[in-house]
Amino acid sequence: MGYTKYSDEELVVLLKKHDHRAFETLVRRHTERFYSCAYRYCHDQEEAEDIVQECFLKIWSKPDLWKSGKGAKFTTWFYRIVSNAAIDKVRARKFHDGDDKIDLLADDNGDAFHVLKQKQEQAEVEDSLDSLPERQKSALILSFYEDLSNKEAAQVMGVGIKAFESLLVRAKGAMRDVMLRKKSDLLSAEGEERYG
Amino acid sequence: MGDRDIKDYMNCCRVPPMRSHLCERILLASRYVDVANQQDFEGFGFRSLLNWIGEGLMIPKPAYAFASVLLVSVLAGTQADISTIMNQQSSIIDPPSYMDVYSSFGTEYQMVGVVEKGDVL
Repeated sequence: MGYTKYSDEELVVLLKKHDHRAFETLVRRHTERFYSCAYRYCHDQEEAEDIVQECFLKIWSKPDLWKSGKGAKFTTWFYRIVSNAAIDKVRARKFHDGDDKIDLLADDNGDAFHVLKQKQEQAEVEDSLDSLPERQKSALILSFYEDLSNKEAAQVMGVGIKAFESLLVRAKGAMRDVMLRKKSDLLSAEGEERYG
Repeated sequence: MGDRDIKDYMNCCRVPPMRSHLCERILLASRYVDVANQQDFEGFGFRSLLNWIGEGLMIPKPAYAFASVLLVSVLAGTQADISTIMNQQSSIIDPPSYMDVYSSFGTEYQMVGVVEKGDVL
């Protein structure tokens, strides 16, 4: 397909002419990446898929949302759309069902103990992330999972670089506290088990 | 406990692979948006049909397959009998069929005959 030669920014401009092939190229190029980002927020496969679909449909229906300013990057802008949509979804969800989360991660690996351990670890990390304030959680996701530079992550979050860096420091500190707390809980549980 | 430890801790969290039909689903949904934005559907319950398809597309259920067949029929101008189709919700077709439909749909939208009046899905 000839459209693959176009940059994201060129494609998104073509959306304003209602160009289906431009849209298709963007969708095929970026769905996986933004699905992964959405999943980091909501920890739910179906919800993450819905979020990505809604966001793509949003730019299809309203391509004028994109403002091609100097150096504006489509992915940075779209990260912001996806992150905001994911945060809204998580806010709207009243209860967090950990069991569902574990079911969704079904693995065909035959080692049941290994799989269970992996699922428990995963659920624990997801709970830890969810226990952080929203903005700190976003900072960690964009920086650690999505590997964005501080500058880009700051743009996604709509803050200056300094503000983002200080947010990231607080987020890491909070995550460290959560990890230490879990470690200490684990040690006391083992102690109780050993000494009754 | 440094950044490395935090990264290692967080990295044990995997993202389940994206399901392969997601791109097709999004593209199909964009066609739905196009159709739904046209205001010239009259009679035959097309408005409610489209709303219903839209709901199907927004909910991650096997109904996508079902909705896609309906959407294709609408785009192709086939007069699907909505009451018959609606009564067949229990026999929703499976994802591979959905993919087949989309593949054909993706070429020229010439899917006349996919859903015809009285068809049982």
